[in-house]
Amino acid sequence: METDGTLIERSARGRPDAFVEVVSRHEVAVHAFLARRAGHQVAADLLGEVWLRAFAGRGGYDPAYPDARPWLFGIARNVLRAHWRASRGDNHAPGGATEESALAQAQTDPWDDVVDRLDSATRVRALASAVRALPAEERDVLLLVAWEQLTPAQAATVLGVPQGTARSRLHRARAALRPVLAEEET
Amino acid sequence: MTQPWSDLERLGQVTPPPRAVLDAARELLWAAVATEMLDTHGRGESGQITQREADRQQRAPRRLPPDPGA
Repeated sequence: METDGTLIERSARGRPDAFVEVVSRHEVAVHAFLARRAGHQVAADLLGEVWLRAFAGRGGYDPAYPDARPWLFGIARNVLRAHWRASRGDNHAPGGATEESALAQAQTDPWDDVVDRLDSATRVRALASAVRALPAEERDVLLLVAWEQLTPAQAATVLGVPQGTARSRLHRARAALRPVLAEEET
Repeated sequence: MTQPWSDLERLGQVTPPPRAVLDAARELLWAAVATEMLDTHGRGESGQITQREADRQQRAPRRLPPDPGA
């Protein structure tokens, strides 16, 4: 089977339709990425925008990377941020952790949707609260690993940070959650 | 991640989307793909659109290629 990298490279060299195969491989995963963070309706609204941005930017994809998921998740994340920014009615330029934190606390905070889906188990709610309390940049890495099944290196690609940074954020996030999980086990 | 991290994975469980949601998003992509294919194949070596292609575009409305995943 051809890698995503091969297909994307071909799509950029005169066979744009080859890109559709890449989409067919990852559309459920990218939809889930969006739905986990913003709910199903928003995910349905934004999925097409993710494909259009990816298609327009495919010329910059390094075909040495066989799996396009981290790249697509990164685009989906940018689309989601733009959506949240628009929902807040402002036009601030993308920034660092401060903006991330602000976005996480915005009216459309994805954790409201997550909590809605929870059952009544107290321990799961406690865990959700603990995750919500994490700094946004640590939570991002944690959820990319736990929910999207990415490696820390792939999560770094999504977030556009060095691998070491992603690993240390993941370490801090896990350490912060460990007491909550330990309580559950006793 | 393994136990007890499975609870964290549980928090992220979502139901798969209806097929129609995926198809609607793909249609947007197909429109972009079709536009680029027409632009590429409708131009001669000089980069100008050929008379034959111009005639064809005038005669027929644009149609999307069939979706191979449908």
